[in-house]
Amino acid sequence: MDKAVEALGLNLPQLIAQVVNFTILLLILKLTLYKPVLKMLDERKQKIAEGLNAADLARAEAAQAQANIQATLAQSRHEGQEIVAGAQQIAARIQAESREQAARDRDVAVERARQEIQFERDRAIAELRSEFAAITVSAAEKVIGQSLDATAHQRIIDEALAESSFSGN
Amino acid sequence: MKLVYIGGIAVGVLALLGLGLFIAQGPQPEIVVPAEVLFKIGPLNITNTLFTSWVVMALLIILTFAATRSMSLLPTGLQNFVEAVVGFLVAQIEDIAGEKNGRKFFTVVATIFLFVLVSNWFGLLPFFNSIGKTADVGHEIFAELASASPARLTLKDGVYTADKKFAGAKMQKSGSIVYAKPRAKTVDFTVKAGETPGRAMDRYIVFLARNFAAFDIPEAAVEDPTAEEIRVAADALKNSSTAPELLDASQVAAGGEAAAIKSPALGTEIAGVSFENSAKMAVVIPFFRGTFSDLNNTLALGIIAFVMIEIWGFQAQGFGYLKKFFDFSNPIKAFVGILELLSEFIRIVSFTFRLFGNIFAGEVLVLMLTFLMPFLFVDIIYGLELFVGFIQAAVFALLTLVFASMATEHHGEDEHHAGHQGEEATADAHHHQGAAQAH
Repeated sequence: MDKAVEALGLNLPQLIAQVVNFTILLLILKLTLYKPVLKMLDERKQKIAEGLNAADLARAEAAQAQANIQATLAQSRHEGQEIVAGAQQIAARIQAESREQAARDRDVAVERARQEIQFERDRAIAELRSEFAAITVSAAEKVIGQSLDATAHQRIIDEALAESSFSGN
Repeated sequence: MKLVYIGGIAVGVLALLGLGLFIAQGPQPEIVVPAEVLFKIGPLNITNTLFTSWVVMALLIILTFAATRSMSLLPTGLQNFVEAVVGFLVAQIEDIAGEKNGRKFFTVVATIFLFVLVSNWFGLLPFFNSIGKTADVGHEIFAELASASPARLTLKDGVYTADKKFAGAKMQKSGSIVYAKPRAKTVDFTVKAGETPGRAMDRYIVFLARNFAAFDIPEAAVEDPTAEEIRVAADALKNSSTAPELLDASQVAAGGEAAAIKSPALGTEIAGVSFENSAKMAVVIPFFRGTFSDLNNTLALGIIAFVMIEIWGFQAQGFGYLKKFFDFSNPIKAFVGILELLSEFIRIVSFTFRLFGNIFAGEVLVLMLTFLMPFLFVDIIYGLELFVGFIQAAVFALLTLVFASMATEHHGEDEHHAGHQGEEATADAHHHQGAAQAH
């Protein structure tokens, strides 16, 4: 066994030295390599995750805003249409009302005219009647003053009528 | 036309291979499993593998420090790179162990992966196993033979108890930073078990005469020379001006470091060997050698993985964790428990030898190929080694992770089955108790 150990060059001090070497290397590498690099890797991973999250958030927000705008647009379009429809309704109503009013006015005017015409006619008839009575009286006076025959009678009446220039309707 | 291209390429390849053999062929590699010692601090041998692991650690620490010194949310350059690596590791680990456990295991598993991977790939750089200091083997052999308590030989009752091979390349210089010339000859001398120091010394004299004084003697004679041959060899060494010199006691300054040794064949005391005027017999001890081509380092990693797995197991399940190993409710379970316990420890061994075997074999392969075919073929192996380096790092880390996940899992399922089969009324009750304990 001793010979084998010697032939292979095994010796305790060097073995211990190498274990110590490795331990030192491990500790120093932990300090100079693993700790900072792992920290950096984790940090970067986190940063990237945060970035991605933020991007997602921003995208969602943008989509939300877009949707809001669309909704507002749709709403305002709807409202406009409603307003236009209302206005049209009102216009139609006004038109109808005015047409009605006009018809009513016209009817009133016609009625009034008819009444005036009636009145004028009545007055004319009354006037005519009074005038006709006077003419008749004068004609009768003339007839009475002269000898009256049938033919003369008729002539006198015609004359009286012609004299009064009456034109009945 | 096509034929011309193919021919041209073939000639180019051959020329490259020839050139490689001529100018860049390394010395025959001397494969040693234990890491070579560069210097010592107290009881600790600073081997080249330990040294390399320090360099790798420094590299990792400096690189990561530079990359994460000023982090920003928008990464640039180096930060990008380390983030990609860590991100990849975290993803893989959490994939296997789940998010909660993944973060817990992460530090250890990732460190294992990074340390092994960077070590393996760093170990493919050209200065590995090539530049180093030299160790003078020629002197060492004499010192070992002459010493009453040798450092590398085992001497008992006047004879050596084990074979020991000393090898080195013939070099012009040694003892400082040198390079082995291309195709430097490698020679080796083996001290045999059952041999007395004196006899070994005699054979060493013949060995030196044969290899350094051009003494014409068959290889076999070095193994078992006659007294006559030894005397002739000693004379040859004495007469040649470019051979190592055997020194007697009078030639060595008083208080010389090496003890003297008496040669039975020559009957004289030899107090030293001088390579001053001759080629040296030396090996290059590379400053850098792959961290995990050393069993100490892979074993250390294996032990760390094992300890961490057990700690996590206890953390997750408390002492219920031990139930997996010690369950005496029936003989089969008891036996399975023993197997589980054994496999737990065998993991250390498999961790250790898998990594060591792969990396060591890779280094040997690269070394051998630079010796056999310095150019071109090595590149293929380099590609393979890049792959192996990554795979081994991943395997070590992944296995640690998987074993850790297994250790932290609750073993309610087995008991559940037992309860359903109605083997024991208590099994069901036990299950509930276990579940309550586990949560």
